Amino acid sequence: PEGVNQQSDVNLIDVITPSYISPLLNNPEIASALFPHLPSDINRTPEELREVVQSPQFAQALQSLSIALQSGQLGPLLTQLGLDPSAGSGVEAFLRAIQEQVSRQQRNNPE
Amino acid sequence: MADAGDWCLIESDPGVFTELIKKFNVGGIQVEEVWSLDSQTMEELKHVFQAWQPVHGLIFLFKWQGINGSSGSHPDADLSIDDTVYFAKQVINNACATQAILSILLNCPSIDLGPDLQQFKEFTKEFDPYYKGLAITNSELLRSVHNSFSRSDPFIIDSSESSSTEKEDIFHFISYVPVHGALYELDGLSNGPVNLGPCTDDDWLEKVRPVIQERMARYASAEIRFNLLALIKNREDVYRTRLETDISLEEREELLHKIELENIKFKRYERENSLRKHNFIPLIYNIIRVLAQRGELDARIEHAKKEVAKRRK
Repeated sequence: PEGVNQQSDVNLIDVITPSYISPLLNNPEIASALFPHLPSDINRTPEELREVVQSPQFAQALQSLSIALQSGQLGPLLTQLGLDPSAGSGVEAFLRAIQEQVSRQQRNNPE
Repeated sequence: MADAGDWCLIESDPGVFTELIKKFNVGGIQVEEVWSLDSQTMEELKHVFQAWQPVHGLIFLFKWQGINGSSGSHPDADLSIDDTVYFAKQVINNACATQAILSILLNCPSIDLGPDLQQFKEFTKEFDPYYKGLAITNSELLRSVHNSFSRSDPFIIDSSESSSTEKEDIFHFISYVPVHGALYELDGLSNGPVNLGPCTDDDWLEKVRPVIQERMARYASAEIRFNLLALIKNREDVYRTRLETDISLEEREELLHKIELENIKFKRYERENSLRKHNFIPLIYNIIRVLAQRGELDARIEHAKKEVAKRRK
């Protein structure tokens, strides 16, 4: 139904799908950049990483972060990630702010 | 931030419940999910229960989404304080997993409660049901173990605000346990323990089946999901005790195989619990960065928009 929820925001679950992410994890550079963010008792291998992004617990985390972003309650977290507070006005705004942050860093440190 | 009174919402999952009990320092207990709940498989259920003997108690959970509904308090709730049954009122909602477990543990003399729960039981035994519930809520050990299952996200979603975006799941639990020759229904939202009639340790599961079936039938029209969990003896302990007896080579091999399967299951529980407690935001953020660096993020946003549109149709 329209009217209740006019602005259509995206859900992180549709952005980071296991089928899209899995092949990327074969890239050793990508995998090793993500290893530090795994739970400490999980082995640092692409296979384990793949299992984590396929787990229901990871899906749940994507879901609750999406909800939190939509509710606009994430000011302190955004600051921690070095993002502008305006990035907290929804999932798309959050994604665009990370894109902007990455592009800026790439311009400042061209490889 | 969490103040002293906060209890997190945790999943009603056998792996979670098993670890909770272990962390209360209660030994030798595990929780299994009872799969067959449909009426046509009640006969199968009988066999499952037989294989698990002794079953210390059952936790019947239901969960529905949407408007607040009453739990449907049992009309026969026994208001008189019954010394033989440990009954605690449910004082706050999210403590329900822990409360359901305690309803069984504290009513089962054959379970070794360990020092902490033994002391808790002694300390609270004279309390009335409301104060027992309050004591559970205020116990530092119980709360900290329970809350160790909260995800370590650096944010807490205020449920009153998030309800506008996503309906909160509402859980309720009822425990069934045989106490001193009678079958009891313990519902923290009820006024007291409900005596469902005499039973023995051998036939109580027979007697509880129609009660649970009746419950399910009562909620059948509403949008409710059921879950039935059983508190049983640690399977590996049971198998190892059996291994020490004079048994055939065939049975020995079968038992060793079962022990191996138990070990695999417990490893899986451990892994799932570690994922449950993990803060995934840094991982998510860095995956998004990878997509941005590869110039693929815009396309992913467009893809996600299409998915949202699809679901709206």
